[in-house]
Amino acid sequence: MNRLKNKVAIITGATSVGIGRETALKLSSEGALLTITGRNEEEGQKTADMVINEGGKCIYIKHDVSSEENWKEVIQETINVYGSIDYLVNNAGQFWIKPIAETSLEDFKQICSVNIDGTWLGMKHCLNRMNDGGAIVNVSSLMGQMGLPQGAGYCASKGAVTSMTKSVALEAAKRKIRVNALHPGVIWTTMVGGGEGGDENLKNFFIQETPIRMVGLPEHMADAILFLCASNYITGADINVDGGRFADGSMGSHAG
Amino acid sequence: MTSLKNKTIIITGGGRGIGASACKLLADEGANVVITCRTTEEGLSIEKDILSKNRSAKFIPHDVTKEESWQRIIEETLKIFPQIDAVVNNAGSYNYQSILDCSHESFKSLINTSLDGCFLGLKYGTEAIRKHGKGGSIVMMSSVLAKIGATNMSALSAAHGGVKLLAKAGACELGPEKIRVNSIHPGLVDTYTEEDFKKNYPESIDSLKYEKDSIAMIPFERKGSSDEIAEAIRFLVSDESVFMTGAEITIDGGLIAQ
Repeated sequence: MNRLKNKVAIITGATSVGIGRETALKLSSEGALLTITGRNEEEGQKTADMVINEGGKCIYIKHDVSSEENWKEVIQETINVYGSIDYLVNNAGQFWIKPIAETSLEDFKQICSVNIDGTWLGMKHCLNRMNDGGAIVNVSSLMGQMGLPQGAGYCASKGAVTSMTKSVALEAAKRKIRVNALHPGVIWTTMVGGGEGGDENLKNFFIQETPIRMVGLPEHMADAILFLCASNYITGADINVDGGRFADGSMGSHAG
Repeated sequence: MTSLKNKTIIITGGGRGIGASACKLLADEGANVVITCRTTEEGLSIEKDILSKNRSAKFIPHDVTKEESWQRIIEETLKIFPQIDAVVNNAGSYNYQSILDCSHESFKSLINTSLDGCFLGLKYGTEAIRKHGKGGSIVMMSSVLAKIGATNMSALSAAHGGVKLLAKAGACELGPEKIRVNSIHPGLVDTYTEEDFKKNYPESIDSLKYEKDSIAMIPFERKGSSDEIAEAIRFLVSDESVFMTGAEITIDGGLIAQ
């Protein structure tokens, strides 16, 4: 299929088995040319090799999304290699929970620097270099719109991602660049203690508290990211990919 | 493309506008499309269009506000196709009147078509999907009016707000059997010619001027097209959204982000 044929996409956080890697494979299978970024060089190169082995085009660039210098390099290198940019997927993120009283200001600033600054810097440096009609997809979280015990830092950072998404959508509309946020629920990756070899008890707990009785997989997010890249009129939206957890406002305790 | 190969999908209000676009797109993707609407000529015309491309479609006349009509739709569909995989509750009515001008009858009529119709679609759609036990997808056509208020749109806001939460209630209740229920929230969509609009909604004629003025308020500076909404319907009935239920897809060119 060729829904994104010869379009250039930057995907952050594509260095591990998770949403980023799956999104890279998905967008590439639709014809997109990729720059993938992340901190772990070995895993990043592995993702790039996987894309290339399937017949796609992909470069890996080592990238700390909270570094403005790094962002400039990622964008310049992408322009050097492909000549333009159509899509930016701000997927890199950090998750942890801790009682607020035991969380240092440094901890708080640190999660904000990855989740908020990382997304903001990407949009800031990419927007003016992107082709008209392109798209930015920000991977926020279900926790950007609801509370989570011990999650003040994570929730605050994701709430900021969702709300800045709407502002930038309005700014970018004149050039028909679409800017949207996705709100994943539990996606069974290493970030939440899952993925291959993850804790089965934890997985069952998540399944039971999700109305659709499954955990999300990276491919589910990749499908939603592809949908947003390929759409034309969706902008400033936030879309849940959560198996019904938000609909069931009590975090699943009433499900079924 | 074949993203919906062999799925059977019922689309209400399939004779015109978003519904007609969705019928054509889903048929192109390989689905068996059941087109339902009240106006026979319109339904037959879409059916003919799809069949002429060697795709699969059947028109069945339908009043979404009547339980017996829903029962008939399900029965007739299952005579032709092996199972029902998805129901798109797209049929709805329109009203643009001030609270004082809107008669209780007009209000009730709109709620009847737009909200009761969706409830019956959820109820009978669920029953039909349950027959095979493999899960399925129910799509609710709501509107941005489920998320914001607007002058002269009290009946629409009430109906579409109801539809949005009906979808969430359905998502919670039906999730365990893998029946997904999601809502779509279009902003302004280019579905009617001015002439058609005047014919169908004579009491809401002031809305034409409102819509013209409103385009300037849309960040994307244009209305959406029915094809663009149809693409979201395709996504929600396909296996590309298997982890999505109780979700809202707003398609409004940025209208309510501001």
